[in-house]
Amino acid sequence: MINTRHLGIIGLILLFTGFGVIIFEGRPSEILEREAESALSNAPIPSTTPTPSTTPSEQTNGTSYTIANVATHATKSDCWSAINGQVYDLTSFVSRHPGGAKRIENLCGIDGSDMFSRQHKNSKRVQSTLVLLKIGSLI
Amino acid sequence: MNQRSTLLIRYSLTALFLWFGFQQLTDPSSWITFLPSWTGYFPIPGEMLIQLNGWFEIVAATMLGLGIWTRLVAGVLGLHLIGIAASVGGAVGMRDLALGLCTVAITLSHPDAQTLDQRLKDKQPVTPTTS
Repeated sequence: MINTRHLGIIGLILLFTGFGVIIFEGRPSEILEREAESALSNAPIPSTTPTPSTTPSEQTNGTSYTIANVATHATKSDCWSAINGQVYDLTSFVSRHPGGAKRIENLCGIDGSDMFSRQHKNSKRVQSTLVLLKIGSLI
Repeated sequence: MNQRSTLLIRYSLTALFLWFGFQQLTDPSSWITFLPSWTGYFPIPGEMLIQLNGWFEIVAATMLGLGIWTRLVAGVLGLHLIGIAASVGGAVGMRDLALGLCTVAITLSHPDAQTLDQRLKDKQPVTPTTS
């Protein structure tokens, strides 16, 4: 006979399944790129039909930005920074930075490679957080 | 506590957590500013954290509304909300603290008769005792 223990277990299964779906759907763009690359390498030879070119707004990590582009995003509510040749959108991280929002605000709109390297040079944890915020590369 | 009072509080809190859960799941970017700074240590995007929290609140609220593991779920939700209140602070934190304590009050009271906990318990066959 069904009892609340069974229902509770169903609830827990539902909870963790939902977590899995959210994490899978929101997996970082670097993983998406790798999946796309391996799908392309396994794909059959394409036909001669020209493929439509994607605009920079449709790409995520494949886009390149100049430092002038980065400089136009220099506020707390729209914060980009160039770090070690890559461009990151730090807007969602400003309030989450464990060292305080001000440290991130100081990087908005500029090349923050020096400041970043001085503070977090060898930190794998910080690198893995940063990679999630990458939006392109610096040219 | 009176059965109807417990029922009213339970359904009200269910509606509250369901509403906030759906808001977080569908529009996570609006909730980014509420994330505490220690979440920056997790290599998880802020929006994903919000969505995970939203899903947790939806499932827990559904279990609270149906009355499954009522006291446990109410306790977890209550402590969760008290934690959020402590993190947010100010007037919003004060309000959340009061709501969190109301949720914890459900843990401290006997589940009302409308919960599945009680209904299924009442349907269990009673083992006759020999005197």
